[in-house]
Amino acid sequence: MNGLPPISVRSVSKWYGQVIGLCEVDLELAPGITGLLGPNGAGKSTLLKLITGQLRPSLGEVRVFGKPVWRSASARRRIGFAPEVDSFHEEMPGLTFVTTMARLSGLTRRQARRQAAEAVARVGMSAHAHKPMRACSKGMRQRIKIAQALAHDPPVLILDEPLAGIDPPGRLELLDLFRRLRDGGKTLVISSHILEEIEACTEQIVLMAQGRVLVSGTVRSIRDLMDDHPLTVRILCARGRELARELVQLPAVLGVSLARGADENGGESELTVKVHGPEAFFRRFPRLVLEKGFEVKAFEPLDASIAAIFDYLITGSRSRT
Amino acid sequence: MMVFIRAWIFLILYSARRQLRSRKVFIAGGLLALTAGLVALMALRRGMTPEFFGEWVVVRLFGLFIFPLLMLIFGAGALADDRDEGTLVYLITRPLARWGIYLGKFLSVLPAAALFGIGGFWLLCQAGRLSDPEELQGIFERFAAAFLFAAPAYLALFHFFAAAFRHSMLISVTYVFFVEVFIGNVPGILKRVSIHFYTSSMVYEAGEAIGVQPPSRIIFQPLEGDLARWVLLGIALGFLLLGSWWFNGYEERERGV
Repeated sequence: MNGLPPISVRSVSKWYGQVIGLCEVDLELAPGITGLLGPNGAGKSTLLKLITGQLRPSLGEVRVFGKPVWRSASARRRIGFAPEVDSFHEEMPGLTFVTTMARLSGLTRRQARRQAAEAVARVGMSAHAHKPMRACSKGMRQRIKIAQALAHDPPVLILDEPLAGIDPPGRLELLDLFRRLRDGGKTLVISSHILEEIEACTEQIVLMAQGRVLVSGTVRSIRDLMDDHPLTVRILCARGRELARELVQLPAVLGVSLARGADENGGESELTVKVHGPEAFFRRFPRLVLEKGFEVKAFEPLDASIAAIFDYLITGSRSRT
Repeated sequence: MMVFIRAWIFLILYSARRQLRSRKVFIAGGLLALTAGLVALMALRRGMTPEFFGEWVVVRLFGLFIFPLLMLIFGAGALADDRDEGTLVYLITRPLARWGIYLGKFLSVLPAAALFGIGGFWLLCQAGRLSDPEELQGIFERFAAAFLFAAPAYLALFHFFAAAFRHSMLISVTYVFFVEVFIGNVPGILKRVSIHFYTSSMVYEAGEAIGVQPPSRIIFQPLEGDLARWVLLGIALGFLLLGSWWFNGYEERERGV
């Protein structure tokens, strides 16, 4: 779309009276999946409401493909939104609800029927499409919510907690759907407070807390930003004591503990290494292993998950404010 | 542009269909059935003169009480139902201008309001004619215009309440009983804040030829029919514009925020 970013959030703040909902947020989201992470009350829903034009920014501007979304109906046509609230016209069957929403997006009756049926099929609800919403389970309702966001085939999809209430096989199906939508060139913003959900479908994340964006980028790039964050690495190898001696010589290593020593019997040892400045450590460690001929059976960072990063950042954010 | 017009027309049609399939239809139908039964009973037991029908049935029972309630039932719910159900979010995230949603929702209640407001009045006229059909010949045609003009005024007012206040139904009911019933009947100029005053003015002018008159012209001081008609149109248009402007700035916040 003329090279314009799908979503551009420029210096946006939102106040609810005296309460700050969002504070000076700057974001530019490219096609692909972006995970919006943060605990309850972090400002995720406020940000999504601003992106979908439900709220007017107190300061700054939100644009979708270059158009201010609060004022522009055509910008909103390019958005499909699945809200977190579990609200429907309860008497309507799922397919009718999705068709109705497609028609409210300006599709003709024929287009709406065809695309709604396709959307319902994509979320795996064809078998229950004629069930009234009030008779649908939480998971079914969640799928219908996603289907109505997809039905008018928008280039931008904003999904607020889309996997809440979905059973594990269903999650895998939907995660697969999100990846296929991404591969089709769409821009997806998926909010969640469950880290594994986001980690499973995207590398690109935005971490929020207390109405601010703490950091955005790939999990790896966020890790790179955190050189002062100690990382714990588990190493399984032979000649563990010897390796431990070598490791403590490295400037990036804060400490080494030998959890299980079996050197005496010629077996393997388990080392837990606390590292300061992971980047430098990861560069140096392979050279050390090759030079000294260590046989490493396993090497895994113990706290490199988003959860660890998130905890660290949240703690950091609290101590800074 | 076509896309937006198509979406807007669909909004009106689908909202109108939902109004006609809602529980309100039963409430309004029940209210009308009770009222028609009461009028029929009165007609059969004591007969019905044009003067009595005009003053007690048209002005007081229907004009002051039943008609505003019918308009409230439909007018207050057009937007408030979506807000209370939590489905308003699906409308305001569509390619529809907020003022378009507001106006579309207003237009969507007109068929139901006309059916129950004007149709209900026709039913009452038929009930009144049960004792002597000749006596009340042409009574519906004579007074229907007053309600035709009053309907958009009431609907626009209650629709505005629905956009402006979270507990709009409570405010609308309070309005009907306090402003329409109470203030609308106090002597002096204060009664002119009630819509019923203008409806009654039109009814009294239309009924003059058959002897339908306010109990005291000095106390009631009715307006001329033409002026009352313009005031009713002005109220409808004024509240529609005010509501459209108000709703254009509507933000969908978390409940309680």
